[in-house]
Amino acid sequence: MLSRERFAWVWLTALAVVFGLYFAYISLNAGAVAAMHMGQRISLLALALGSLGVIAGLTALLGRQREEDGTPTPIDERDRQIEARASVYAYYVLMAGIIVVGCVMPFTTGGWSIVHAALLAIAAAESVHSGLVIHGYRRGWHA
Amino acid sequence: MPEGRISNQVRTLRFLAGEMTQADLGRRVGVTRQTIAAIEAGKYSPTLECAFRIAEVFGKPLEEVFRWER
Repeated sequence: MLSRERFAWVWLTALAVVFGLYFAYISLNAGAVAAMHMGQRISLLALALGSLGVIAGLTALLGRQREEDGTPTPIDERDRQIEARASVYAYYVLMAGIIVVGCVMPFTTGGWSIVHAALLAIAAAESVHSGLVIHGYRRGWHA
Repeated sequence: MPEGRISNQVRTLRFLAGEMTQADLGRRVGVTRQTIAAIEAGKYSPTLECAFRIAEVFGKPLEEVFRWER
């Protein structure tokens, strides 16, 4: 398995686990979370985002693919095409999410709901990106 | 868009070229071993430039290496 595919699997799993836990905690403890100070809520969010950062950093560092002679495996045209297609679809998902968050939600709700909706939009876009990268490597890619 | 797929003779040509490895072919063409494997498995259609380079390595015209099948 290529390191880029491996990274996509780890990232997709990490997104599902970290955001799953974060949103499950927020919904199950809505009362307690609402009573938290701003600093506590920001710390909770920073903990979730920080874990994602650590996972991404460690995977990128430890999962670096090398050729037989020890040099890093270069990125070639197939990698670039798979990445480009994944990025295009992820961009549309992100745009749709940001339109809802930035143009609709300010008139209907506010505060942390907007923050959480933005996080969900980013998580959805990242999931689509990783999913398409995995699909590109496993099922093939024909321009 | 007309239905079809690109088939190729890369595996056969590697064999005829003295069992040239995927890594060796990839190095000469400028792609990774994994991309050569994907091309052979029909999981990736290379760019025209890459296809010409592969044909050049084997000293064959493009149509003897890649074929459009309906």
